[in-house]
Amino acid sequence: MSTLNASFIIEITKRDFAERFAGSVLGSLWAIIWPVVNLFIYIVIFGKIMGARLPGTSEINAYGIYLAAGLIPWTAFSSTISRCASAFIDKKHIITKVNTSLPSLMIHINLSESITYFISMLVFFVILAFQGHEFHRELMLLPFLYYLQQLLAMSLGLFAAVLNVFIRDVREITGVILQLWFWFTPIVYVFDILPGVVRRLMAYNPACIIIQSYQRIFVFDDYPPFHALIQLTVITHVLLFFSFVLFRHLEKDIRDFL
Amino acid sequence: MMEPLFLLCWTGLFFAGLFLIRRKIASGVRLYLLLMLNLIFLAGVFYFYPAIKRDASIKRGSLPSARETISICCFPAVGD
Repeated sequence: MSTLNASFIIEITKRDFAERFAGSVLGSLWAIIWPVVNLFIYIVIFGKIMGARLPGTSEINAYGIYLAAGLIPWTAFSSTISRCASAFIDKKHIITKVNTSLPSLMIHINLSESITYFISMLVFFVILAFQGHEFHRELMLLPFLYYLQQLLAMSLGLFAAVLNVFIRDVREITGVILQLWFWFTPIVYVFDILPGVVRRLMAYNPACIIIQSYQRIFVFDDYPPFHALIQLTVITHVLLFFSFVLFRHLEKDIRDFL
Repeated sequence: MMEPLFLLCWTGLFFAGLFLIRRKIASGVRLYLLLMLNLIFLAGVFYFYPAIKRDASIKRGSLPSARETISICCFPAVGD
């Protein structure tokens, strides 16, 4: 197995980012325009024009902030999984020509999604500051939460990527699962409206723990559920371990198959 | 002030561990050690942070009783 190469990862991340906006007049500015437009929709359209209110809070923009706090991390999480799932097939031309370590493709996707996430969060913070939102100490936990969420996304993505080489349906199945997962996680609706049975099931939904942590930090100025986060950390690492063991076991076959 | 200090020190320790593993450990077991280090790092943040927070909040107010001090030191709070 070839070792991870930092300069290679940075190079393909740069190229990935440049390719996304290649040929457009505004170029990389689109990376800022998109989050601004999305946040405008969440906060102004949903919060102010449609008048959606968050139960238990008096703030007018609370629902918009609640939406943004859930959708920004979810977008990074789901994009990482779906892009990782097809990484080996999509980067076939690189894998077959350059002797590169396959996990570096996962890391470059993570890095690329992290840039988008960072820009979105930056725009979100600027909007919150303009609205006079108070920033609390709990925000210090955001990098750790993000790190955990991306590790989980990478472990699931690696597992799907290995399977996708042999069974091409995995890419489509991943898309379907992510769509169902989105609606099974309280991102656009509030956790409290769920019936009791579903609420109990939510304890087994890792995305719910992550998204709720963000919502607690941004909207309710509260601490994330630490106990659940510790459990999720252990589960994530076990998943990452098994995904990697499976990948190592099949690496030669993956290269032959491609 | 305690919480940012803890997060900084803990992250610093994690990076020192990363550096040591990258430099001193053979590549065969490196990845598994990195996974272990990651696990300890993240679980440590989520385990110790609420304990430190509770400790700090008590210090800002009145002095804790002997019983509270023992419970903080021996049984740090975990959970929400």
